[in-house]
Amino acid sequence: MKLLRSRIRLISLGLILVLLLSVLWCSRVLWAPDLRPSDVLDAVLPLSSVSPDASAPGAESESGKPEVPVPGADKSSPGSETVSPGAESSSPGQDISAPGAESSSPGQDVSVPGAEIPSVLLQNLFVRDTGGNLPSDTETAIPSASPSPSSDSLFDTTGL
Amino acid sequence: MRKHASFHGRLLITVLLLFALAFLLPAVSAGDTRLYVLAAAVCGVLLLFPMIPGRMFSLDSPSLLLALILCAFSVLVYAPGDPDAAAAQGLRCLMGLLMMLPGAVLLRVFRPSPVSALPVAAGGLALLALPLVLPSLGFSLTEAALALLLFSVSAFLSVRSRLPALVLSLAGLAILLLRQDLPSAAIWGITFLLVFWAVDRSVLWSSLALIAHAGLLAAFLVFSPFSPESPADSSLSRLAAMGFIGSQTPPEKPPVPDRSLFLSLGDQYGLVLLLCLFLLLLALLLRSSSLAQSARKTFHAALALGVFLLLGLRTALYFLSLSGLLPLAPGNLPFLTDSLPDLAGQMFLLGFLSGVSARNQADLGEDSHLAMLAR
Repeated sequence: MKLLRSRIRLISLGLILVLLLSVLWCSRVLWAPDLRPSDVLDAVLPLSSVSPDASAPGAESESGKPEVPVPGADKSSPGSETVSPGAESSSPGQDISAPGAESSSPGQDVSVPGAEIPSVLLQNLFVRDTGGNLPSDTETAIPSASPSPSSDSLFDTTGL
Repeated sequence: MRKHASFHGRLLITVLLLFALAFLLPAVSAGDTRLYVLAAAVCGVLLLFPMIPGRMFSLDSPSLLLALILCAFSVLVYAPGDPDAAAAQGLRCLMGLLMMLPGAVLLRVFRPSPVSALPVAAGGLALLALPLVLPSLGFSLTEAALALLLFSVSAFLSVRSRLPALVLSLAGLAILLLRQDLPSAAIWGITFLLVFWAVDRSVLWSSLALIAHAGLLAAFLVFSPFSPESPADSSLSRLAAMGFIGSQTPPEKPPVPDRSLFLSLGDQYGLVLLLCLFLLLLALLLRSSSLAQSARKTFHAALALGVFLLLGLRTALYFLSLSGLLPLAPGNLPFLTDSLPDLAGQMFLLGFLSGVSARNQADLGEDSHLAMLAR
């Protein structure tokens, strides 16, 4: 009976949470009518927006506008994941910004349009998690990246 | 106890004053005698129903009061524009409220056993299959049928008859899928699986039930692909156009072109009222969950949990459809509907809750009696 009560409590909490979230989502018509579920997912999980085609020249952003090219970006290998040489990272996890790039929202750390910077963050995560060994599918991105003096773990290619 | 009764009395007086004002204001402004009669009738039912049938059948006071308030709002939505339609809705609500009584009585006289659960199960399946047998029937008794199925499934599970419960649930799901009633099928499937998981300790049986239900649903979707219904963009834009306190202008024709009483109430009285209605429904759900947790017998706990899930999932489905997350037409909220079969089925479920509440009270009384004897 104790187990039954705890399970009833769990189910009740779950359903009431679903109800509250659905009502909150309904109320978005008052404060953000254009908000879509994918926007919320992107806000909660920023890395979910990274896709291999996102950095291709002419790729369109979610808002439907073409990507603004980052000044100084390496365009010799179209379609490959490249890291903007102009993008400087003082230390992993801090603000990353490219010259001329405008931030879509002032509070965001990543202010470069396009998918280059999320890919840098992704590589950064891999380097941290794997102790310096990058996964094989990110190797192509390393030669085109210009290393930053302070972000040694990010561009440490000695292990490759 | 006296403090509790006093609070309940004050709450009832407040509700009565609120609805008297809500019905009398349009009556005075329009000078319509029918609205005066309607105001007196609604306030009379609000006052007398808990006192006479409520006490005679020991109905659960909080659930009954919440249901009465929701029903009164469903009458109020028609009153300014069409008093005749309001009177018809009032009659529907009264007939629905009377269905609480058989629910409460059935729970009190029922002793859970496989033999006694079989006739209830057969009745539930027959009601569910009625639209398949009689396609010309203009209404469906889905809510009442699901209530009976839940009752028999809870009885089977309380005596550890897992296989009959599973077969019965699959039969109900198959009939709902054959009727192309995918929302009700989803609600029933989720309700059964969660009740089964809560009551049964066997992971193997729970997994088996999950696989069987998912397999049946997948087989149906393979042979008859799901076609999304019209999205709820119009409902959402309607929600966005509402003010916080509504337009306060009586509509010239019956205000339910899409049969959504919830949105029609919002058109007239604003978003604040919609929030209050949601909170009332939430309070009703919390009451059913509380009754499920305080039940002493597995049968009563499973039944109250099932009632909570059936009503809660119906509410969640409405809001998920309204917000556009599910490609379904929103339909109506529980107790805020103009469909008598649906209302009667939901009141029947509340009757079960009243029976569980009365049983819990009896158990508490027995405990205190034993404690007094032990001194």
